[in-house]
Amino acid sequence: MKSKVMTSLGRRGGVARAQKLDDARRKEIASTAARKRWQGPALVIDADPRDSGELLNFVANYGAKVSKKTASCDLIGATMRALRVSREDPFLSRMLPVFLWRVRNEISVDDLVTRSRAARLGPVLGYFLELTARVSGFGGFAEAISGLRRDAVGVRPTYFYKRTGESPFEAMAADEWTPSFAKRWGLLTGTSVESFASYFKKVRDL
Amino acid sequence: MTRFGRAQLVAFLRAIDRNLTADVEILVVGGAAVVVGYGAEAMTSDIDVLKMVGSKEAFGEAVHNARQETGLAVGVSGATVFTSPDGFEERVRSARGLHMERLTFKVPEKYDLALSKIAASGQRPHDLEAVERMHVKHHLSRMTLVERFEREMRNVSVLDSRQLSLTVAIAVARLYGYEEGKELARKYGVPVPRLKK
Repeated sequence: MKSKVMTSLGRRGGVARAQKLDDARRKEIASTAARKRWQGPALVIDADPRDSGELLNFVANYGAKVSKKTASCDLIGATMRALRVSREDPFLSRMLPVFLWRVRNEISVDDLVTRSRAARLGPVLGYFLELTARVSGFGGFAEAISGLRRDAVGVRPTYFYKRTGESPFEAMAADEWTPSFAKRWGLLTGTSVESFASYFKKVRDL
Repeated sequence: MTRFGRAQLVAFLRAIDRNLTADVEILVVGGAAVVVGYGAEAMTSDIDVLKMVGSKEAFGEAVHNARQETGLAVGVSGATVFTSPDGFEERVRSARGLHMERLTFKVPEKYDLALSKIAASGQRPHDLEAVERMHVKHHLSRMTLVERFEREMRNVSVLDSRQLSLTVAIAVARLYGYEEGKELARKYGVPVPRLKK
């Protein structure tokens, strides 16, 4: 089997045979191998994300017109995992509004709210739903946002990113730069709406 | 097969290269430059092109085909805001280990790129994270970073100098520790937070 693969890549024989080849032939073999290696889909969504790398890719690409999807998965479960991981990974949190907007017609928002509340993720979900509504203009989350407000009443503000509290400089910046709507969810994000909006604008239609 | 991080973006760029019908050179800034140019373990789904030499049509078509081939929803667009040291254009370089047939991928030199990300990092925490991950792969000297900022950026940039100085002090604290950040903040006359005990 292996030799068939190697043959298809243009590789036959061992070191001695390779050394006998002229430069042009070597270049041709290397270029065939490179073409084979880099061709084909670089992303296949075939199951629930299995680790943090797959989760990041899932959030970045799921629901996009170009993404190859070969299996259904627990979308609400994946969304909740993304909400949790977003507090450690600013790259993922930047992508979440695009993801929520792409899956807006695929998920039951009521189920997402119920399961998120049970997992104590209510204010985080509320923040991202409101953010998504702000950057996309989508009005379908309004009821859920309004219901989730209760979860944030009287909540002591905490730094959204777990690392922020460890650095006095970043904590100071988060105190100063957090938009007021995020503070209403009890979250000191230090991230402007514009940061999410510019990314949303670039990738929403892909 | 799912590829991650740099491998994913490289797969996408190689797909663009395969689909190009004419030579194109792009100068890329932002997260894609950090990941592809300096191997930082970060995730980005957009490529910010600051400058392009070659056919826009051929490039646009190749990007479209690359998305279809790879299944990657990577945004490719012109960089709208890019704040950098004054002489950065003379220091741009090709991304190491990325040889393609028709596409030439250029990135700013590492201190220029780091300072541009730091300038953007006020209210965008992922930019600071990207600089830190770049620093892990390609050590950034504090002295060079600060000198470059003071000589070519602080008083040249159109951004508010106080705000810019504060973001640099925050970045220095993240990369080299609280005391280093405090020293710089005092020098620039920007607020110094107290270390909580």
